[in-house]
Amino acid sequence: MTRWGMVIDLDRCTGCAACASACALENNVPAVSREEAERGRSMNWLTMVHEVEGEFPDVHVRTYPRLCQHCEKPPCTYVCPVHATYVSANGIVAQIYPQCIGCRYCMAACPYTVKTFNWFEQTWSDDLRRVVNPDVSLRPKGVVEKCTFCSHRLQRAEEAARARDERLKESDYQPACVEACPAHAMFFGDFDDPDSTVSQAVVSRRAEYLLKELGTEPKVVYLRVRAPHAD
Amino acid sequence: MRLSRRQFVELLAGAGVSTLASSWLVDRVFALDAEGALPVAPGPGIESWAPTTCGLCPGGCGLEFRRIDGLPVGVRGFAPHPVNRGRLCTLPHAALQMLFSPDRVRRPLKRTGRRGQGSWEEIGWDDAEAMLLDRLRKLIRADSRTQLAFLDGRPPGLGRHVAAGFMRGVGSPHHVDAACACADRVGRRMFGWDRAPGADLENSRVILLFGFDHLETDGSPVWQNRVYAEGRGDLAGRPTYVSIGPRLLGSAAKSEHWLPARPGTEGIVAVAIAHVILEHRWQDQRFLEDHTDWAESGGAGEAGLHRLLTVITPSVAAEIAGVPAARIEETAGLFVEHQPGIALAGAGTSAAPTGALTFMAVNLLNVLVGAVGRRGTLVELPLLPLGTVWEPTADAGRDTAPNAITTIPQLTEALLENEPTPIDLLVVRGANPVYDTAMSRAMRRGLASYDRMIVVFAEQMTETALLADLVLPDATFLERWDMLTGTPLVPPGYALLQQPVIPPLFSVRPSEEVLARLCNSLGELSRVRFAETGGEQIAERASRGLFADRRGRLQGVPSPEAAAPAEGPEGFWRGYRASTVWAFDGIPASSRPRTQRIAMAPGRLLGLPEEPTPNALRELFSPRPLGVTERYPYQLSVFRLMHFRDGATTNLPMMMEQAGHWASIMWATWAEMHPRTAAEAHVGNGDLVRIASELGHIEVLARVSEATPPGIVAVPVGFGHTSGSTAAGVGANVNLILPSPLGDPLWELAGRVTRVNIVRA
Repeated sequence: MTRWGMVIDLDRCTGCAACASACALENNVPAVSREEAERGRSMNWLTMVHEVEGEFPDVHVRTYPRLCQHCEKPPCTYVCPVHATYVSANGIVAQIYPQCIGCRYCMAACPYTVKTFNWFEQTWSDDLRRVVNPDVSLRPKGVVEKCTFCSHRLQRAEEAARARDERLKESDYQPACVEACPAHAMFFGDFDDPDSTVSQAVVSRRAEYLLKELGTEPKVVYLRVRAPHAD
Repeated sequence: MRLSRRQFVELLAGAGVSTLASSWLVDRVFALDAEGALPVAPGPGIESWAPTTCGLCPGGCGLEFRRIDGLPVGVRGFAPHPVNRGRLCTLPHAALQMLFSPDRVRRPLKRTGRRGQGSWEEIGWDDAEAMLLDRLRKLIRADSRTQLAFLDGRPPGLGRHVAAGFMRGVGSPHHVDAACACADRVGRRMFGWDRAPGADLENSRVILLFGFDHLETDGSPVWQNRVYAEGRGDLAGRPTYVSIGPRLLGSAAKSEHWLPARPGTEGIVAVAIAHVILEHRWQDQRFLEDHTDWAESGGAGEAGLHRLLTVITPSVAAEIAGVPAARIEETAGLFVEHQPGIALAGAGTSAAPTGALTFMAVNLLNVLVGAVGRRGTLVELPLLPLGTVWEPTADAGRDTAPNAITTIPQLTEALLENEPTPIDLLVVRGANPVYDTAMSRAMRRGLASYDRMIVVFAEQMTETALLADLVLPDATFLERWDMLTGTPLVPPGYALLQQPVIPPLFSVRPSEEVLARLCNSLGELSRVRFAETGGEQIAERASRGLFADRRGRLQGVPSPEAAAPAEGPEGFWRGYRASTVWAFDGIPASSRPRTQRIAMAPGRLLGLPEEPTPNALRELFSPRPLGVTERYPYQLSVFRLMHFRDGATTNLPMMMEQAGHWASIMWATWAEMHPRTAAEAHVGNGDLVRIASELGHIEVLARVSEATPPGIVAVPVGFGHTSGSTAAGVGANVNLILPSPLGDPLWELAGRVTRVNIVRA
């Protein structure tokens, strides 16, 4: 079996948010207007979170990228009345846009608040519409969308590996955020492959999960910062 | 002509198979439309990848654009590239939004109404070039060659070199660098090197960052992110980063230590650290004696360095900078103990009135501990060996003249006061000084006169272009040829090829080609002649200098064809186009100071008065913010964001959407302040507040956080544009409440230090 997942080393992550931009470009995630942003309708699939802890001058900042955790037991799939979201055989939590009826139950159920809703038709200028990523469909108004681990890249990589008559290698399939990360802080691979980078990394004592107590069993694992800041 | 998808399908259905083969239909399908914009209909869907160098910051990252039928649809880092090794920051992901922005200048525009009114007549290139040529000929025939000034926003490299040739051809020395050249100037004066000092960060064990935002905006952020991250191994072996500056969010948040110095006081902290080093005799005495003028730098009449280091103790610095003396002493110990190390000053300091002094003081630290010319310290980078693209036809003078205008404050003074010379023709390229410097208001006044002609090469309409007589559509970095030197922070020194991934859209022409052609069109009036005027031909000729130079070679060559450039300059050029990177073979051995001695006397560097008193020395490093404490109790700290830098990328929707991640605020300017500051001003988190200096006020959202020192208000630059369909009217331009010091060439873009008050709006 294959179980795709991600490890993010927060000791390396610098909070630059290049991952968020790479995601937006790769997945044709549109920038919304100022008015819509003010109404909380921005469409980011990946958000850089910064939490300030302590009191000046003994203060430090906890930074981490938040994206769909691709849970083994995702609350969002349980509540979807039309099976528009499900855990696929390779572990990726999929979202079927034509199936979605826009009830937003999944958004309410997601404890990580990483799903976004298309409140309006995506707007692109004529020129920009012609240069969107052709591998990723544009979503219509009224459906929920979220991170797919760039599963369109998996499709291409699998086809290419089949054509070469080879097994899919870890380096063949990397989501856009992982590929871009300038700090080399994000790793992606198969948790069921004991030799994969992510399997090696996840046994670290620094490994932790967002809201682990909920039992959602995320497949995005964070490695804690190695030591508290001296200041 | 544009065809909709439906029209295209109807056309195919009506035409039939036989017609499909006709050249008429093939032309319709594959031709560019009348404006030279995008293909009018889908093609066969053939994918290709095109490598080039990013032009959105001076960092020099390699990009690879994915194209479908020649149209760029995506971007990734160019894997073999030695600078970014396939990784990216946030900016290039919005490059396509820049290329296809609705605000692109599509054709030459001639002003028809009042300046700034925005009334334009579209004209052809022939008419536009004729207008410019007429003015140039008049200047030259009136023996007023030096009344031409060129404000250049291009990073160092071939594009800048072409503009230098144009200026030499016309005969004016006033080629102004739109970026702050503090590091270059102080580095050159202290070390006698041709470029700003390079930094071997990869091998440094301790890095002091004086306002140097290494993870977001200074140097080459992608390179520095990797260097930082690769150092995050075991706790015992990792380099120590110390950030000195007023803001924790950003690079300082990832440093081991943060010294929260008040805005503009980083320099005095550096001098105090030097004081501690000397007090404990930790200096590298042998290096000082062998390679510097240390022995004589204490003499009278030169603002004696030794006297300065005696006067500025940690407790003096603590009083001025707000950093505890014990932290300064501890940092001095760290810097000495963990050598090799580097102290770096960044844009965060250069913009303060103490900027040049800060660069001097920070470099002084490096020199004191002998952190020059060794592994993991400051290194000398050679100039690029560009091939000849233009040659003097007569006495072309020199690049610099005694009273050459080289900085924006000097240029502003010339525009306002006609000193040292009146400016009759101003050409601006890749810069927007009316918006993005503390000189904003003064520059706007300077450009108001109708007596002079203002020509702006612009990719998009900007606040400065709106004041022009003639706006010429310039190519984006995706449409032009250039060779960039990259930042000196990434040794050993590179020549990075920028090449078009798509032909220029609309009626855009790369400014290099226009300048070369103009120069040649002046005929005998020009003192320079370009051998070629096409962008590719110019770049190819420049590459011959690299081919002939044995100190370096092509790097990261992705194909066998490119790996065998031995077949002469043509083969080299093919290889260079595939690789995009030529690099020196290593940090040259000559980086160890040789015959020249490092000049350490600040008086000699900065032209200070003779016999300075202790108070004068103390005052020297005090930023003296504008405004009285009683009325303006808080200090304003201005910072840059990776997404906007100085504001040139604010108009890109993706950047606008994501820039506020540090504050979780989108599409609005914010002010970071400590809870105590907020309580004093009766302001709550998220409130709309008015921040006022003596020069005006802006309205922004309050972001209350422990990450900002009490008494300081930190506001990002990049918002508050008046031009651009995305950027206009969003947030506030903090440059408008900053003082505009004129004239002093060493202060560069100085002025970002002022006192403010805060009231709820």
